[in-house]
Amino acid sequence: MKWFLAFFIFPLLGFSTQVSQTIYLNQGTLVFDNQPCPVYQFNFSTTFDTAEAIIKINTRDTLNLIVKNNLAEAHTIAFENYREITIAPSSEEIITLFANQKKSIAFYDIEKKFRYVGISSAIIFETPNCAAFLWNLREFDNLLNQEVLKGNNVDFSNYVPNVFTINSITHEALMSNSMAEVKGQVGDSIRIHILNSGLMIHAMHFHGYHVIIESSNKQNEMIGWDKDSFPVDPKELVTVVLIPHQPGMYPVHDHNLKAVTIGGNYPGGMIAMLKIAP
Amino acid sequence: MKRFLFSIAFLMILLSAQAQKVTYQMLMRMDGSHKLYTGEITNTWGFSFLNSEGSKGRPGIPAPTLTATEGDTVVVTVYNPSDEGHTIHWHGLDVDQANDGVPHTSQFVLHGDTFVYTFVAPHAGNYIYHCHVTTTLHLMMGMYGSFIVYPKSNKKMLFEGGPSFENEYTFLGSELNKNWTDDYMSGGALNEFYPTHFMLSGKEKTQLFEDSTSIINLQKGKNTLLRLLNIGFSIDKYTFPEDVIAVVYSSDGRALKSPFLAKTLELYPGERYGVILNSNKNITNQYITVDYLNMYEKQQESRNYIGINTTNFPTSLFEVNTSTENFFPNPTSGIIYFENIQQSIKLFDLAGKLLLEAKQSNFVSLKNLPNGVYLVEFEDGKEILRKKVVKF
Repeated sequence: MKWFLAFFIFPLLGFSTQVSQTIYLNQGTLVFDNQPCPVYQFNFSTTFDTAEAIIKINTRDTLNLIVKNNLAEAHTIAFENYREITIAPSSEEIITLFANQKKSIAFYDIEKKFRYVGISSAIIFETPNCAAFLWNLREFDNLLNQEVLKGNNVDFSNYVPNVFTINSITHEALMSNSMAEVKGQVGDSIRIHILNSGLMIHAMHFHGYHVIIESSNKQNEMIGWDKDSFPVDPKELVTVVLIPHQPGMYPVHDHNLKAVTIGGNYPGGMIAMLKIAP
Repeated sequence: MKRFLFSIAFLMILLSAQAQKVTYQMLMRMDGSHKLYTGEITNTWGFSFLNSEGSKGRPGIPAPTLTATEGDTVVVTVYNPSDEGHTIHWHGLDVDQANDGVPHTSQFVLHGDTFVYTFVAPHAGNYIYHCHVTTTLHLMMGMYGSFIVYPKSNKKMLFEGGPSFENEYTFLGSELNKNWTDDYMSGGALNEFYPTHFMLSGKEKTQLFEDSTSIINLQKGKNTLLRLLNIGFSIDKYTFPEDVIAVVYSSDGRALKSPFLAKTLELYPGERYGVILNSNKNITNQYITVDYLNMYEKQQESRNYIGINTTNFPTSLFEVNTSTENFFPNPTSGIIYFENIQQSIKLFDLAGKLLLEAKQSNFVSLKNLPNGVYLVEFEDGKEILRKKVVKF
């Protein structure tokens, strides 16, 4: 019996791990082009941090995610294909998530205006021998953010964003952000999860490489296609696989070229970098 | 042994004959011009061939189409006599970093400089080349063109083993704002670019019917290839007529594992498609509609028509508005734009009831209103004006 436990049960338990992670819903201010932009954001810290929390989960793991709401009002967060949780101010909720479907999980505030100001992210899955990155795309109009955080209703019909970000940072800072800057080697398998938390469609273009569109949380006829340019709709989470055939440093950017600006100036905004070693 | 060596030598000659070197010499220019469908001429930038033909006159939109055959080594020598730095990015061709045309990872081609781009044309398909310096502006000014790679064995085939075709047409979608092109220094913030002209290979509206190259000759039972490319800021939505069978075979220079029938096809900025048209009927006077949708809620901003076996512009389907308006487009399915920021833009119904107002804005959205005729009120600097706008 002991042998049975040792050989069969223990290894099985070893493959499936329970992981706990706490994220905090914070309020703070990001600064773009010397202009303050108030946002809500998920952080790993109890106080506001400009770096967004990016949660990774191994494909065999079970995640107990604790979400603590440090904001003044209640928020309802939808975890796609799971359930919604409503978190009162200064309270926390726990949700258990499984990564065995090899699907990343987008989660966001069910109110558009709160998703817009930053309550949106994804839990991304990792597999052995395949690096995983998340690019969380957003665009803002600073003035609208201020209105939302004041508690006012906003009219998005005249929406003209002037800030475009990946993981809440813009082009210059993206060069040194470990989750946005994709580093790898020729022949590696690199999985990039791209979530559009904004209100506009973003058309991402890869320099230097084509990528395989592996999955999407929306009905996306492009799954399996080998592309260098493709759209990501609002609330869409697209996963692509890059296997670099050549070394080099290449940008990946929104080809709606309004989005590669900051405060109306070029370059800025949604430009990430690939750094591929020989 | 002799026979073996002869066979090897013959094979090598054959291979070297197939993988050739293709050379182009080009100019980067900021002295271009473009004729709009209204008859007006606007200033543009672009590329032209460095030869007696390309050097004379002013380059237009788009730049010349470049071609190569799969496996060819492409050598493009560019000379920049213009006042600003430029580059060429080979969009989708996956060239190495040195030839990628991004200034801070490869190089600028500054005033007076020459640069030689060298790369191998990797896959048969449709690609784009464009300047990657201050891309939002330089591209809008016209610095782009199509790059077509043909398969080795047969130029009348979309890709090796793919469908063959009788004739082919290339439509490269793009936009410009006439105020910006008239005087690029007058342009506003780059994130506030609003197109005033929506083009296919540099042509729009009636221009697409003025010469035979833009009108599709579709013969019953025979394949016609459409090379569709989008280098603009909008979504180009193609809608094919009922009697036309449109099958999408490739995208971004790669064959699709499962080609599919399409009644409509949306091209997002930077995307390219290979579409085979066929029909089992004799077709005359039919049109492919191309709607330009913005990237925010896909609101329609303009429409073009591509004629199939016709030279008639579909005036019954589309009202040509050539008058100089203070705002555009009119009719609209969503937003109307003004050239300048307005103190106030008010929208009334025909009974005079105020429906909505936008302050300190250069646009207003009608998307939440029912289709119909409305009055838009604004101030042109001298007086308060009211004009009709049609929402459809």
